[in-house]
This record gives sequence, C-alpha cells and structure tokens, in this order.
Amino acid sequence: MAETDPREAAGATSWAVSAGAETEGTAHAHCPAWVRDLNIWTDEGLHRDPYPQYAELRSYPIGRSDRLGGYYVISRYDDVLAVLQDAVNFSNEHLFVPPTRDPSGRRIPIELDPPEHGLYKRMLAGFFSPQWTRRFEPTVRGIVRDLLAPHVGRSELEFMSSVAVPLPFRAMAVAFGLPPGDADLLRGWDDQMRSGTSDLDARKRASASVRVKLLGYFADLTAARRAEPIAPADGLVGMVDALVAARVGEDKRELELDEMANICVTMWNASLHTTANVLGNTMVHLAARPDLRDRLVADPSVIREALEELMRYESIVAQARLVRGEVTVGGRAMRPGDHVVTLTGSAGRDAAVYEDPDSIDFDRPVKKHLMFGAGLHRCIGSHVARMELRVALEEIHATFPHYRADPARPSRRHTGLERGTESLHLLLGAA
Amino acid sequence: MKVTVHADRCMGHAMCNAVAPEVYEIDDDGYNVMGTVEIEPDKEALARQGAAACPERAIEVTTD
Ligand code: HEM
Repeated sequence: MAETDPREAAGATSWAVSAGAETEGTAHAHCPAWVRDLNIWTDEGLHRDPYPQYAELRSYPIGRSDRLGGYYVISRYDDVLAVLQDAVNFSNEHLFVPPTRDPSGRRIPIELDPPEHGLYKRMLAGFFSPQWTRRFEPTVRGIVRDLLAPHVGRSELEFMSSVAVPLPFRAMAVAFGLPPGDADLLRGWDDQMRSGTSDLDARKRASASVRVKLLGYFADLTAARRAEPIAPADGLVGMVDALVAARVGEDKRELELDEMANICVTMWNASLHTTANVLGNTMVHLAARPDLRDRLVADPSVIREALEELMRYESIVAQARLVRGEVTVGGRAMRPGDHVVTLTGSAGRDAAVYEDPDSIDFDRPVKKHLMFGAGLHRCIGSHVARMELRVALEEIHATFPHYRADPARPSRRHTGLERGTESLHLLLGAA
Repeated sequence: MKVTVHADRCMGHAMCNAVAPEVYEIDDDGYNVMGTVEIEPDKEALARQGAAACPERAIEVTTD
C-alpha cells in the first residue's frame, strides 16, 4: 500500500475516520461538532471562560478538531504530563497549529529536540538558577517599589499598564544586562506588535517584523560585548554577557553571533507577557475576593502558597507538539505527522488530581501544577518568574492593603497561546 | 519510609525543596540528586508534601 503523507492524512482526517484508529478498545465519547470545529487560539467561549469547555474536553478524554490543519486536544493532567515528558514521540519542531516556520530558523532552545536541545538547555538553566535568582531579588524589589510609588495616595490604578507589564520588561532588561534605556526601545517594538489589530494575519506579519528587529538588536549587542566585555553591575552578570563568555559542547566552542541573537530573542519573548499575564490573572482573582486578600495582608508568608494555588487555578500556557512516533495517549492512537495541543490550564482543573478543582484554596495539600511545563522543555525562567511574582505580591499587599476590583470597569481577559488579562482596574482606598 | 528521587525525571523545578527544604536538597541549578533516602518518622508528612509538589512525579514514596 502506498504511504500517504501523514501530515496530509492528519489534515484531511474526519472525526469518524480517526475514531477508527483507536487501540485498546476504549469506547471514546463521540466528540460533538463544537470540538471538531474548535479553533483553540481564537474561540470566543474560551476567551470568556475556558474552564467549562475544558471540563467537557477532559470527558472525551482526547478531543479532535479538524480546524488549523487538524489536531488532538490533550486536556487531562496525566495526558498533558505524558506528552510533555516524551520528547522522543512529541517534537517541539511545531509549537503551533497550523505549523509555522520562521525564515530565521528554529528558535533556540524551545523549538529544538534532543540531542541538540541539551547543549543549550543546560547552559541557559544555569543562568536563571535558584541561586542566581536569590541574588537578583533585591533588584526586582526595587523595581516593584518604583512602579508602585507614584500611585500611593491615589484612589485607583489600572494594574496591567502600571505594574504587571512594565515589571518584567524592567526586570529582564537588568537580567539580560541591556544598556539602560534600551528597555523602553524594546517595549516600544513590543507595543507596536500588539496594538491596533485583532486581525491574526496582520498580527503575524507585525510579530515577524519585530522578530527581525529584535534579532538585529541582539546580534549588534552581543557583537559589541564580545568586542568589549563590560563589568557586571552589582556583581550580577547579565545573560548577554554570560552568553558571550559561555563555552559549549565537547569542544568548548564559543557561541556564534546568530546563535546568541536567536537565544536572546527567545528568552526575551518568553519572559515578558507570560509573567505579566500571570501577575494580572492572580490579581484578578485576589481583587475579587477581599477575604483572600486580607489573609495575605495579615500573613505575607502565605503568599508563596497562594501563588502556587493561583498558578494551578489558571495555568496559562497552551502549546502544540508534532507527533513523531506511533504512540497512544489517553487511549487514542496517534501517528507520525499528527499534531496535539496540550492545555496546562485544563490540567490544573483535573478532578482526578485536585479535589474541588474549581475553588481557590491556599491550603490545598497538592501543590503541583504544570504552568511551567514539564519534561525537557520545562521553563528555564520558572525560578525568576516565581520570585518576580512573589515580590510583586509582597509589595502590593504591604502598600495597598485595601485594593479591590472596580465594579464599574470589569477586567478584560483572553485565552489563546496564553490565558491572560488585558486590563484590571483596581480601587485602592478603604471600602 | 523511604523516598526515591528519580534523577532521569527530575527537570529542576525545585518545588520539593521549596515545600520541604528539611527533606529535599537541590543543587545550585535546582536539580535534586539525592537518590534514595530513609525518612525519619517526624519528617514523613513533610516528605510526602514535597513529593506531591513535584509536577513531574519524579519522587516516589515507599513504606515498608
Ligand atoms: C510566569 C511566567 C512564565 C510562564 C507561565 C512560563 C511558561 C513556560 C512553559 C509552559 C514552557 C514550556 C514550553 C513547552 O514545553 O513547549 C516554558 C519554556 C520556556 N520558558 Fe517560560 N514561562 C514563564 C517565564 C519565563 C521567563 C521569565 C523566562 C526567561 C527568563 C522563560 C524562558 C523560557 C524558555 C527559554 C523556555 C524554553 C525551555 C526549553 O525549551 O527547554 N520563561 N515556559
């Protein structure tokens, strides 16, 4: 029999045909039309509140959509974990559906598979280690205080534009060792990429052009630092300078300029709106629950646990994988060329793992969640991000103990590659 | 009670140490390399909490 191109087959396969590919004899519930027609990045229902749809998806338990070239939806904790931990059968070459290919090549390290991935991962994880993060904490605390200070004595605050978005930009500019002032330049490009349009194709073009600008910026910066290394501020070596000094692989070679630029752009893009959205999401829920807020004001030592719980409650990232082998997930057989989308946000609400998953409980005995992924591509920035978020919450609760959501201006939320918050209006005075 | 940290599954989340530093040691980069250790009775609850905090399910608890 002639081999069909598996990619084509995946795209063309209707639900009924792919249901025939089942192994293990599990009777799968028939996926309704809304799942077969689900655009996981733009669906209106998901934007409003993804959790009812996620709950339904877990019941199938593997959904199948024919949109975006065709993909399976992985929504239970065990299945998401199984996919993320299996870098042999699930490749990061395609992180989106439909797969997109950037002319500047695969993004390092996130779009690489082993063994290539390991070379970079070990090095990068070392830069943002728990130990480095501890030394970086006072800098971040200073940035948070600077951001909050102008609002002291005021009655209201739009949290995303005033705190959540600028914080990671400023913190990462220092962590990278960028020249002072450049954070604003890069922030400007980022705003340009995000503003103005909800047209997905226009956005894609804008983000490709910003990527080219960022690659140029970081190629110039790494070249300049290679020519003339700088002394680290406060004894903290910036990532750009650490890359310049790094020696990788068995032959202990220097990194090429285009490799360094590629790494910097991946890290820059991965570290900003993720952190901003998690901070925003966290504050959305706290601002709606004065009882939870009061507990954190009274006992800041609970903030660590509160954060983990809120990261479980809204684990924000959805990522795709390209299937490489014959593999079964959740009882469903998959073939090379198929695509899957893993929903960490749904894994966080899985009743098989968490008791009463739709309620917020800081004292929950099970603390684990998949918001930072798992397996080989586990987030390099998780230690830094956790610290930024904790320090921000500590300072906010110490400075504005009465904050609450402004009932007249409800927060704007979205779901897509990430679940996030666009605006959050807070009232700051005593109620 | 014993805990075994499976090094091949540990991806350096460092959550075991965040939840139960008295039981779980990590290296400078956040990875747990302690292998199998015997847990003193007064630390069993902590050890279990640390194991439950591992998103990778890399920590196995065994009782004899
Ligand atoms: C709260 C904020 C953050 C969240 C929710 C988050 C989430 C994630 C997730 C889910 C992954 C896995 C992606 C996959 O498996 O395909 C990941 C990977 C990654 N993250 Fe983060 N991240 C955050 C902050 C950061 C920060 C601050 C940095 C940089 C300092 C960073 C750098 C990276 C990199 C480089 C990878 C790719 C790692 C690899 O491929 O091995 N992230 N992140």
